[in-house]
Amino acid sequence: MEFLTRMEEILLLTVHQLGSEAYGVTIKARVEELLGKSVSVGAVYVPLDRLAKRGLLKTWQGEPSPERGGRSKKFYKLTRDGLEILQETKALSDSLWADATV
Amino acid sequence: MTDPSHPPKLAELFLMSMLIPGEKEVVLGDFEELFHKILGHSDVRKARSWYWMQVCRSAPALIQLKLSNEFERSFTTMIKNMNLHNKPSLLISLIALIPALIVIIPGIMQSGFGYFEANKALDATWVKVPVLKTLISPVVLLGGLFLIFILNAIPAMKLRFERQPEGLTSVITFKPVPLHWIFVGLSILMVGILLTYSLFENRIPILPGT
Repeated sequence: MEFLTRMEEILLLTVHQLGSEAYGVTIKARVEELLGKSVSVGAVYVPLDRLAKRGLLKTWQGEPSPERGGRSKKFYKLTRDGLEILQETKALSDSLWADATV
Repeated sequence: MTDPSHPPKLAELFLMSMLIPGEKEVVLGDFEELFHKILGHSDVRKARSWYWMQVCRSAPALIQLKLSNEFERSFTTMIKNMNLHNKPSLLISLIALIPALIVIIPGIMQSGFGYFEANKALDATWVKVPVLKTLISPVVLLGGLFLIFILNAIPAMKLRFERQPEGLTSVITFKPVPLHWIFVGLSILMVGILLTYSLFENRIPILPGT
């Protein structure tokens, strides 16, 4: 079984939750909301790139928009492998916490 | 004068320098969209300093990504460019490295890191000058040997196997090594062999009185 870092797990889950609206800015905003603190664009972008290279995310470019200075967005979506690893991570986490009392 | 409703140009340039070519548009777009969001609820000065802050905070991660991408790209290009003609030359260069490792590793291990044993051996000879002893210690000499093998590996890397139309024979052409390198290499090799031998025999065989 492949393992994810905490940040990778958060990002995969965020991309999954955002659905068709998952791109850099929305992902960053959602991660900041979840963590309750500000994160840099680089801190989000680099693990996203790594996840895409591992085949857990697929990407495509959207249309250019004026609020972005005529630049396009890069959208992210979970691949089948990405979804599977997320399910495995949840199952592992559930079993780890099942009998634990903290 | 720069447009205040746009991100600072210098920060944009700085950011661009840290991005890989295919991602420049996307990341700059994300930064600009966020900049306009900040600008919507605060003044230009705050938005611009936010932009600078984000660029600086993102710099380590982006530089790391750029470097790893560059390395990966150059490595992939190298492998892709290796066709049937130059794959054997890489194999030869790797084979050329094996004797180098065979010589250098046990050589250093045998000589107690090359210095103390060498000194003991050399104390029995006319070589008493510490600097000279260090210069001709096995570490230096075996390092020389290692260099020779590396220098052998470089032309081997440049070997070209030109396939003949018949497909059965190959023409091997060497890129010649400069003569002075051959001379230096052979000299070091000879002195290296003598000194390595002297380590085991505890004497310098060709010197008078030994």
